[in-house]
Amino acid sequence: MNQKTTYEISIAEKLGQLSVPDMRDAIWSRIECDLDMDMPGDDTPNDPKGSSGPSSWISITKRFGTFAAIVAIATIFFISQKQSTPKINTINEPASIQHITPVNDQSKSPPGKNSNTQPNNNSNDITTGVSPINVSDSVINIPFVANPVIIDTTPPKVFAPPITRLADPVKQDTVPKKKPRGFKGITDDDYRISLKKDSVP
Amino acid sequence: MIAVANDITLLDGCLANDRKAQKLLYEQFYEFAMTIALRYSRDEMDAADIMSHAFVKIFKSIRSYDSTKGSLHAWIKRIIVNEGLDHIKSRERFSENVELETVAEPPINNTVLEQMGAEEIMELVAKLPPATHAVFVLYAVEGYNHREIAEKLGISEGTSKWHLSEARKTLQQQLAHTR
Repeated sequence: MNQKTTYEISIAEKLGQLSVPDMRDAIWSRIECDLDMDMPGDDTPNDPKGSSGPSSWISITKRFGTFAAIVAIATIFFISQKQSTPKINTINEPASIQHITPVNDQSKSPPGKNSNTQPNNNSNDITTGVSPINVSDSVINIPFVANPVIIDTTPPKVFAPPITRLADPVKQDTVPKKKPRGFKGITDDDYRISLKKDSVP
Repeated sequence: MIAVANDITLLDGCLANDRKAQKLLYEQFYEFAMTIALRYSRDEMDAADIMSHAFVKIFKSIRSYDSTKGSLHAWIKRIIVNEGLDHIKSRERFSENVELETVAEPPINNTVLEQMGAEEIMELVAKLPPATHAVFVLYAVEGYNHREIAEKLGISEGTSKWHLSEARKTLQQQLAHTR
């Protein structure tokens, strides 16, 4: 027979009368601990306001504000870093290097006139897009008269400091000679002290 | 009406993950839930385990509660019972080796039972083997039939009947000793 017996009904009634142990707080602390780990709320248990109250909005606003401040600081730092980095025009801009080659044929440019210092409108001779500090500016400050320089407009392959290139065309004979001093016909050899056969004892 | 209104307020708070509302709901259902949990336990510590796990599940799945399908009491009871069965299953793997077609009714002196207190009877039930314990409580106390028990425990109806028969025999022997 698969029916409830009388004693089973009695057992069920008795089990319904079981006294419940007072373990409310202990069990609740375990539940609360598990809930805090699995589904943390914005408020503490003692907070009388719910998670939808103004305190939660303040918390959200604070978090958002902190995030925005961090982003702003990072952006400012990035921009300032970018601005402090020196710009190298020659890297991004095309062909700003000039090859300066001295020309021995002085008939093309008369002496006393530095063709290199004059602005040349001929696009074949001067490369456009030269930065303010470049070869041509440096040439202007040098008293370079005798040897004219023609600027080669062929596209450069490497960047080189202009000063080193300017040193090449300078020749000794182009340096202005000093004005001779003293008597003519006397050379430095005349003042040289040397041992003579007579002076040796 | 006031109780229903309070339930709705508590549910709203629990849905918002409000700890105060969750604690109020827990305290409101503590005795009801603890009485159920004790039936599936060997002692109070087991019952405390069942309670804590069950209420965490309740608060986590509170959104799945549909008031049109049943009362909050019934929903919570189902979760407590399922947690109690899980607890018993964790103590022993339910065997499918034994089956019975019919369950014998051993003669038990009902007067002895009536003289016993609830705690004494609970002790006797708690001494049953876990699977037999679960089947007996589900059948004798909760009122499930063997088909429902078989579905809940993942066993056959014959096995459920065998466990009930075993429970009756064991209780008869224990009651005979107490006389």
